[in-house]
Amino acid sequence: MSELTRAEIQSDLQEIFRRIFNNEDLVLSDSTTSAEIPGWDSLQQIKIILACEKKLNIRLRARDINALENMGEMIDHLIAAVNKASRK
Amino acid sequence: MLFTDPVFIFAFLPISLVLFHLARRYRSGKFAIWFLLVASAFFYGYWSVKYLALLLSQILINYLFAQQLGRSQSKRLLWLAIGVNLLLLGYFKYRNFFLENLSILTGWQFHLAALFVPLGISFHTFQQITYLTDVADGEEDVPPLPQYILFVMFFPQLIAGPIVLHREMGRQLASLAENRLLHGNSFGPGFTVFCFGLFKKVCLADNLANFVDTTFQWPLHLQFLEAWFAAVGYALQLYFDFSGYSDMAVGLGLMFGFLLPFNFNTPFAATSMTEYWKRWHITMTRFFTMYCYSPMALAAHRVVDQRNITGVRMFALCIAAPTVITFLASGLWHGAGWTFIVFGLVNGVGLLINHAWREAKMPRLPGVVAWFLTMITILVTLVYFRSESLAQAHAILKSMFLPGQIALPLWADGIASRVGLPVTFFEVFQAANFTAHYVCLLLLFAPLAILLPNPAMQPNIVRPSVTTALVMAPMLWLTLGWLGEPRTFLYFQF
Repeated sequence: MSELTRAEIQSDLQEIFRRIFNNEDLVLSDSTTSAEIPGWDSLQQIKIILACEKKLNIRLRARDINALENMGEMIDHLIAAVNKASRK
Repeated sequence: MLFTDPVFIFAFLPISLVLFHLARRYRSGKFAIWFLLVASAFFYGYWSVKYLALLLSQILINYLFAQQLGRSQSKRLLWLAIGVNLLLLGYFKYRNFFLENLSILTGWQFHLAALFVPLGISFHTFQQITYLTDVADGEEDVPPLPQYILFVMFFPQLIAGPIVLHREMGRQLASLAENRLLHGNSFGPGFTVFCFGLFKKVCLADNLANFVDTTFQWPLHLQFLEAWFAAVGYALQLYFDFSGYSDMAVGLGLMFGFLLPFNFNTPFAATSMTEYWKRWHITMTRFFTMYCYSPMALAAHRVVDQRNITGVRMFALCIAAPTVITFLASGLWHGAGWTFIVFGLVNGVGLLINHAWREAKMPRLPGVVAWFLTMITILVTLVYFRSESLAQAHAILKSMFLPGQIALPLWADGIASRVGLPVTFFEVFQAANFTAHYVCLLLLFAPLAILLPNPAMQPNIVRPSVTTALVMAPMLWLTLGWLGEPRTFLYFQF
């Protein structure tokens, strides 16, 4: 799990977002923010957290995700969570 | 002291600004922090010295908790700290409400002394709870005491928010301690945003206040038209009042070199309840989302996932329960009364319908229909929010949605005969000039509420220019002309 690259996490996230927001054309970049994705609200965010937890086999805290500014920060946070989980 | 008080605008603000910048220039950043502390204490103590002592005591107790939490990150200690803060809030704000309802349930008699709620207690208590939680999670460090006190007491955000997170202010305060302001060249944009907020409060909100107060004084006598004008008038008054205050807070922060979060993003342009709450009182919504809704909803989703619960039970556990509990808490946060609880409940139910519609993959409604339904729901919630009792709210809602007849006032009999409506005696709209004035204000202010941007969202794009001057000059001229006797801000009661 610790060998997952940033690009792989971004690709996983993109797949998760496309499924949750039911939008196959959605393309994420580091600067993408929640305001740019129509339909992103606190409920969709919970679904994103759960999907990330399952996909990456990690445990996330809702508040940490709430505090992130954009997708780049989210990817960094997921990489840190994956590394932390793999050390355990 | 109110931001609209001439004593604040023409004495406190310029003196404290000059002394703050002199303190930075000729002494040090740390001295400037102490100066801002004294200025903020004076600002709060001007209203009540007794409650200034209470505020300082609460801050000191929380600082001690934070130090311990920083070392131990003990969840038990965190719950104790949150409990102490909620007890304090409960004692000062909810004591009478609790005893009144206990008395109804049990028949016990209590002597209820008049409550005197310390100004801004809901705001600074929540701000400190967020900080303690973040320290217990290991997300935030414990700053030196003066920086912590100023994080809570910085006067632009002390009384009615925005509810600032420590991660937003901590770095700015630490930087000031080293005599560097992270937003040091923002006086111009700050002044502009402050004036814009002042205009909204003095010229828009306060101009509506007398009309709205008059209509809400006659809940049992309102005709269909009066009731709708009362609801729309109050929605606009509340928006211009609180968004005006919030703009002023952001503007003041920038004048001192601090960037505070914005609170409003043209909420009356929202086409769903979810969108509305992403645009209205944004820092409060953020608090409830981060510290109440999300942890509850995530825990519920995990349980549902483990036990393979689906369908209606899944909806009830994962979506309905966290949403309704969060909005009930938000309603109660606004005030100790059943009207506020029902306000929260109606909002929660509105959001649930929103979620259920999407989860059931129903077709999207046309924009105008979605906007109209959202606004109707918002108006219903605000009738509860403004009313002094459920009976008053229900009387107004009955006139709005179940009128005995739709009629025009006696003085409009010419129009009535042309449009085929009966005429009757109107308690509030009995005078044509009063009604015409009210209607003109609503027709002018409603589009402004939807079209006027919230400059506090991007204050740094405000640049000195001929256009800015041409917009600001008449606004300031009007504002100064109307400044007179300041009216308190509606959100100060919370």
